[in-house]
Amino acid sequence: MNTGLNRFKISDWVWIFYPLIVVTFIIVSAGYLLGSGSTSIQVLLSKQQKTDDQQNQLSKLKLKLETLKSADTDQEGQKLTQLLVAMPPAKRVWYLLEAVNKSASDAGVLINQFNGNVGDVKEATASATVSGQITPTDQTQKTMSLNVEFAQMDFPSMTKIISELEGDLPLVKVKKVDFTLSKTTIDLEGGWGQLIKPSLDATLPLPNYIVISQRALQHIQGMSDLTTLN
Amino acid sequence: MINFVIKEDKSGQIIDQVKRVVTVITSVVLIVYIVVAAGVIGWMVWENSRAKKTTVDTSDVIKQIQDLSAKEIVIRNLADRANLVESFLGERGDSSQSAYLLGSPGNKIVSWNYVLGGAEVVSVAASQPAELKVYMDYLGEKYVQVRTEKVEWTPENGWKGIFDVTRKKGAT
Repeated sequence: MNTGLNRFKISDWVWIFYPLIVVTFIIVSAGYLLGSGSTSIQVLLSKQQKTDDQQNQLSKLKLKLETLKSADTDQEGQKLTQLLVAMPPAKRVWYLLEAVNKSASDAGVLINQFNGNVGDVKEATASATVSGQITPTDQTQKTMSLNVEFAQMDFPSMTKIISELEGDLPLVKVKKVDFTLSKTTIDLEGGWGQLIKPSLDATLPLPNYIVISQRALQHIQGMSDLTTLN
Repeated sequence: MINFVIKEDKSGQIIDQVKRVVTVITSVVLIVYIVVAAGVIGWMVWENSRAKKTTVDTSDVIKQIQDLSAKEIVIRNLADRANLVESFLGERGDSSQSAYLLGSPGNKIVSWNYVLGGAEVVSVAASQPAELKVYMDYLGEKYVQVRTEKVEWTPENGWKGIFDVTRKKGAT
């Protein structure tokens, strides 16, 4: 009976610790690698996604940087000046009055009366709003309108007047015409728009300013600039 | 019948076999695990360095963009102003074109009521009713909708037709 017990030696069974230690090592280290804190696979995968997004953003930022580097400030500034003539940054009612007087004079027609609704005439630099802060109410309050009553004239003269008004800079909008042979009233709106302080968030993409500005300049090309007249 | 042959004890051999198999399997698993773990750790290190580099590069590019903020202000103001001009032009209609259309055949327009975006009412004087018909046909060529509001005759002023026209043809 004692034969089996006498033959059992601990040294013969030491090898069993090898797989036990390996299994324990794998379980503990894999648990640490895959499931805990900043090293968890989920955290790493989300980090990878975040880095990918950041790299996409970086590509866009690099493109923006290249665009900014290649922009010719003098040239774009001149374009801006031309567009500011078309749509001044403040209500310049005097140009609207001058446009009406000039067109009436060219058509040989007398003006009976002006009736203006100019509102606050603010300098844009002082009242400039930050991009995105203009509300619809602000938009409706910012019109500069003028009602003009002309004395007797024929239809071709009236056509000449509104045609000339539509060809003037700053831009003029003819909103209403009530023409009769005895008198004519025309409701006009003078174009203007406050300067908006651009948001300088570096991550915001640049607008396609070359195409947009070129198109606008083409539309006002050939119009009569009243701001250069004395 | 009793077997007196000494039975060979094979348990030692079986244990040796099990020991060999378990050791081999454990070694293979350990090696594979170490290779995989090394790969995962390498990926973690690479991912972390990529994230750090991207963050640094992004900050650097943002700094460069901020240094060019004066240019960006000009560009954004230019685009805003161009949009404003386009929007104003797009909304202002074409009253002068309407006037040219209505007056071009040489008819005597005696009144015209124009409201931006609305219907137009035009009155034309004529010596004969046939002239009013010709004028109405002309309006039909130029406008989508033409309606005769009224035809009048008085001994002092002669014939007068009042027409209501809406939407010029070809206009958007």
